Amino acid sequence: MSDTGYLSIKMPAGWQAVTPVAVASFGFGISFGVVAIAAGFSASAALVMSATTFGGAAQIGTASVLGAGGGGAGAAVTGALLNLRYLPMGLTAARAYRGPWWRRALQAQLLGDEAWAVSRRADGSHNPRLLFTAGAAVYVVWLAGTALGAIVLSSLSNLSDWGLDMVSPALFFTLLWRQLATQRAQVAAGSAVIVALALVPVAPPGVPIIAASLACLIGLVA
Amino acid sequence: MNLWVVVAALGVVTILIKAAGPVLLGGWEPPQRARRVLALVSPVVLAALVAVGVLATGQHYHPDVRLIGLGAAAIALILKAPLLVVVICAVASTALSRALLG
Repeated sequence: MSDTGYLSIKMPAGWQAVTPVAVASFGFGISFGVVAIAAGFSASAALVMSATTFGGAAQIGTASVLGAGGGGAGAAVTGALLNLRYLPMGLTAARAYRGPWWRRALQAQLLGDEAWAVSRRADGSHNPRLLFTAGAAVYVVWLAGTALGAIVLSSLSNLSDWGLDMVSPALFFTLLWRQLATQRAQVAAGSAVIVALALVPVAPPGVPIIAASLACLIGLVA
Repeated sequence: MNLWVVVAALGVVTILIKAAGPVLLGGWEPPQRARRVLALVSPVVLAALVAVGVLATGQHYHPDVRLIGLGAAAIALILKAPLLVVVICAVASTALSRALLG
């Protein structure tokens, strides 16, 4: 990289931002391991999912649709919808990826909410080194957390006695809480709740979630 | 559908989504309406998952002590607790309520 000098000056500040992000992702990874086993995943399926999908909300969304008795297609679509945000995020960070296409494609797999946010500069561009290091750090702890959660949980029985059926709603609620800054988002989220709950008795598990996702079209008009 | 098929399908779709910007569309800015719609996909899906996860069991409405857990999570969030603390509050209060209330 040609601008290594500039980047090495930025590194200490970068590491300070990466550490808390890695700690939080480790806890989130443990939660996913717990949710996945509770939903009937094997530990190896949970780990492969963490390695390939690498998106907390999408993985837990997919696992919870499967855990609620939903079909595989509904579960996969729910996960894909939750990872769709990586399209605009990948676009804004696109200039931070360098080299041949296959290298950019590989590096882009480390893209996550945390790495994207930590590497973002005030002018809207992204620090390539920080995007990569934060992404790699989160990737490693995410896999480690998944493994720990999956292994610890395998030793427990009767999960709802431990309140563990609340892990995924609480995670979704926390992520949602941070995304309700605008009135548009609040209206869309409220509409999604109404659509999803209205469909619960008539549609198989998973379908209400996908139908509710259409509430994002509120963005076209308001 | 086999669990592994779901894992593989979601993995492939995610890999393509993540690679699309840096490989194919570098520097292209989608129109504002499209960005607004994309920005809303996450919150609407999350809101639906929370509502169904707390108020339904299978295809039935089944409000129960999970609401107490959600309330505990809300209090933790108002107090600006980190993610893991929010989850622990929700899980512990749900387990406690279940033990006390049957």
